[in-house]
Amino acid sequence: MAGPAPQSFNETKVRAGLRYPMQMGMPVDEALRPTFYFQQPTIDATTDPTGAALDLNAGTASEPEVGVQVLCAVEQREGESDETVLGTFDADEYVITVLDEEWALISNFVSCTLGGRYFVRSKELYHYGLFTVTVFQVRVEALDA
Amino acid sequence: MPDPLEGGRFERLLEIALTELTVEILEGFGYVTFSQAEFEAGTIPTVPSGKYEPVQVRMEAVDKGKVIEKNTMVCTVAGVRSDPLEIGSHLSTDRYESYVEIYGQDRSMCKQFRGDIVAGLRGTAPSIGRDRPVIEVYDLLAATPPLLTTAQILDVEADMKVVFDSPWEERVAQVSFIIEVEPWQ
Repeated sequence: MAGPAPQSFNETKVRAGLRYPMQMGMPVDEALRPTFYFQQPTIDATTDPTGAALDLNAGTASEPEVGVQVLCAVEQREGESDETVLGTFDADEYVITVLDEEWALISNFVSCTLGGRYFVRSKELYHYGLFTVTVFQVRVEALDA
Repeated sequence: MPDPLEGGRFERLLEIALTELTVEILEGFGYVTFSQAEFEAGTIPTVPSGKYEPVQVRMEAVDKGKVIEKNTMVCTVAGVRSDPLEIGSHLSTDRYESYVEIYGQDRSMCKQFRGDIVAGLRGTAPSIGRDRPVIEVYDLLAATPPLLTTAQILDVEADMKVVFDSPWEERVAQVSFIIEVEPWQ
């Protein structure tokens, strides 16, 4: 548990040290890097309570989703596979770890892409303290194979 | 030349007819659809309104390890049960257990697909020309495919989970029904 930081604690160095392996683990291709998406504002005139358009062919289209990329660590936890008539759903889970400064940019995300695959936010995990630095962890689950 | 009404070829023609009927229903309701072949060729259409992903209608499951795209449907004729009509002849009523499995882009869309497919199969959508619960099967080997039979669609049931172990389960629905082929149709 974090407490008052001792004088020897160099926050800048600690942040840089934590970000270094995150930077190293990022895919070279920007499109494959973790990208976070947020709840889209509903701008259709007629929607159901979930915000889905009732008239799919008329009216205005939704605004395009804008993703945000931040430095983070990604840990895979392989989930169960389910065979269906449609194909195989692999319910893979990933745990995303970010520092507080990056968390401020993505804390409200509802879904993300990792390596081009689509995931939804599942659960916020325990926030670790490193004296004055907070480490946030959130679990995401795959929606597709 | 064997009779196309006999044997396995008829089952395959029936499955193709079911896939085409599903596409006809979806397009009748105004959806943009594309086939498994178009998906594999990468020629995927776009939806003018941009409010939903185009609908892929397939005859077989997506290969293991490949992503199941949003708004994918698989049409399947799973099994057949034959009820003999009379002693001394080989006339029988064949009842094909059939399914349309739906993976929607969200739960709302999944419900809408499910309702549209059910209405189309049950023949309760006269506005799109579906006023009878029937399916027409054509002999696709002929240059001008003749109508082989008009089969009845019975016992249409729709199912969707309400408790989910995984997030994908809330977007899956199944429509199950029987296609009944009488020997004199």
